[in-house]
Amino acid sequence: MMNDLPDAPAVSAAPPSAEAVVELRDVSYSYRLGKRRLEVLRGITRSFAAGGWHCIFGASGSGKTTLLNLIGAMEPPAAGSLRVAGVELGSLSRREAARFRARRIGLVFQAYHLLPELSILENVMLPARFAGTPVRAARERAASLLESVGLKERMRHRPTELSGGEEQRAAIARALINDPELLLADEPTGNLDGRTGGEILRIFEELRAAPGGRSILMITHNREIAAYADSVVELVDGVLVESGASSRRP
Amino acid sequence: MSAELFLAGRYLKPRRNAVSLITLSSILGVTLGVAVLMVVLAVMTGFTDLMKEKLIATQAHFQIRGFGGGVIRRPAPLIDAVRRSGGEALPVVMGPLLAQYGNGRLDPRVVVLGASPEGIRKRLSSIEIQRGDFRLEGRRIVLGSALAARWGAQVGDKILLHSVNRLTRMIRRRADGGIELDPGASAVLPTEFTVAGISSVGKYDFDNLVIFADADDAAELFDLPWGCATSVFCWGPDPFNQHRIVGSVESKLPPGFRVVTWQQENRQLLEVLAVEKRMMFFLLIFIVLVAAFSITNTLITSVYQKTREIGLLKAIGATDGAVTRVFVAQGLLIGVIGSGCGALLGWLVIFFRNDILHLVSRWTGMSLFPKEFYFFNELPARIVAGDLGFIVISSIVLCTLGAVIPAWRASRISPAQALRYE
Repeated sequence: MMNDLPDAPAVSAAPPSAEAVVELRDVSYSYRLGKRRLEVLRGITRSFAAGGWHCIFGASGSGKTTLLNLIGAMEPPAAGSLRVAGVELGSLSRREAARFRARRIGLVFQAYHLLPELSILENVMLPARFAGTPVRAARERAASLLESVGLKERMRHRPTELSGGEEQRAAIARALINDPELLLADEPTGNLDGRTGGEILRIFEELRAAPGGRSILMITHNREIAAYADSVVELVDGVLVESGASSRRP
Repeated sequence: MSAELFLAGRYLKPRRNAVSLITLSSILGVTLGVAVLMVVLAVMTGFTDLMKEKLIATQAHFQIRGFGGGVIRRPAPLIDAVRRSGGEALPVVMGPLLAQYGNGRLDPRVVVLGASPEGIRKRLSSIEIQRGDFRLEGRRIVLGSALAARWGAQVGDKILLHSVNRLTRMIRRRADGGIELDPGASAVLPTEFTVAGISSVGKYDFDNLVIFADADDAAELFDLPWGCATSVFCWGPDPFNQHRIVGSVESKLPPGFRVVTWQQENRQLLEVLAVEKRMMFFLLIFIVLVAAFSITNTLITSVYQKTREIGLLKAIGATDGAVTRVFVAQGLLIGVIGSGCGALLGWLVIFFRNDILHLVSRWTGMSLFPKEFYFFNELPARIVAGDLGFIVISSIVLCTLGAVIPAWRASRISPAQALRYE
């Protein structure tokens, strides 16, 4: 698989910006399973610098997706402080959290999650429409993004008519429609073959390298994929462990 | 178009060229409910209209009567008051009689309407002389067609009419409370009339009850002085809007008289018709209510099926309110489309109602509206814009309300949990 992946880019050891896009302070999360309370995340404290490509690496069931959901304002933490793009998420109402997700966060999922009832263009437009962007502006921006990910000719197609890689590229375009400060990616190459996964990672690299560098936080269980990030932390049984950069980095 | 309405439309039409079967069945339920409501109410309205037309065709628009049923000894000033108010008037002598026909058979269910033959023929515009003529002078009478049929009477037959007033004067109360023939009273003979003609006004109960007679003959039957009347029948320019003329006539009447409009005279019948129509609406709206429940069920299923999609919508920024609106808009769209189709179907059924009726009659061999009772060959119907608006708005509101519970459930879904949902 690795042979299909692009070469891991050489990055500077220091993050592009000292300002943190995500700050976790003693964040915990647990849920009840029958009579038992399951501790998923335990006292996590960590900052992720703005403008960098960060990766949370961990085995299945280590709590990666739960942590991503907390950072994506989809669930409030049970304890601790969580600031994303300067906003304390624990204090947001449901409505404020929805608006925050719409404007400040872009989400890319392993299963793409494109709505089958809509065309690719309409799927990409949707977050912009929820953020209050007028139809014409949303359509122009969506078309431009789809063109940039190589889907200009496919924008009128339905998701079922696209390959997995094309769907994921469309999902990335959707995540970028509102120009978010932070892109959260949950196993973005998990459903793709090595070659197609490499294309997706190349897009992430381009996004990171673009002027004004967008912050990317990716989670994966694949160490080789994790190596493409600027920084990697490992989540082991709900606790973050420093992992450093990829072994492929110089 | 808002994102919510756009999404709602797409959920109803998930494929490019097809609407989902579930959507179709929901729309069909609303369509049938609205169509049935529309047809029934239109027929009820048409039937009520026809009844009113028949009532107006066989009655005065309003009558002037003496208080307590007193006799009008000098109708002329009253007629003058009506004419000065812009109406026309006809003094009549009217009352119940005992009729004896054939070989002495009695019929107590007849009413004599005595007036000038010209006046009757002019004002009862729907009157049709089926046999004989309408000459009433010389103790001649004209029978209603249903009455003549009941009696087996023909033109030229002799009919005896007993004055109830005179008969009552032949008896008196004894001291012990019993009754006996008044020895001072003379025996009263009935008056013999000749059937001059048989007529119909196209209203069964009228044709089954009324005998037309000359005003003077009628006055004699009731022992009233010549030239007097029991009431003055009046007609204005518009029977449905006669507040002004009635007010004007009332202001000109001498004391002791009152005006009774045709609506007051038939208040019970008109109220029954109105109540029937309202009852029909409330009974048949249950069809739409059931359709609305089916929308609730459909959307609850849809919410379960689309849990991950709803999670995705919320993850990319849809608020609880936006998700609620997506599903409420589905109910609204089903209501609007179903009501629109229902109104169209209802209109088609109403337009072709008589063809449908004839077809049903031919298949079943049954006459659904026997002409001898209803006096119409075709099913009456009239679509009232207000009724249609009320039906459509009620249906849309019910369908929209039917979507509220599933929409609320959808809005409470947690995006994180929904995206994990398999």
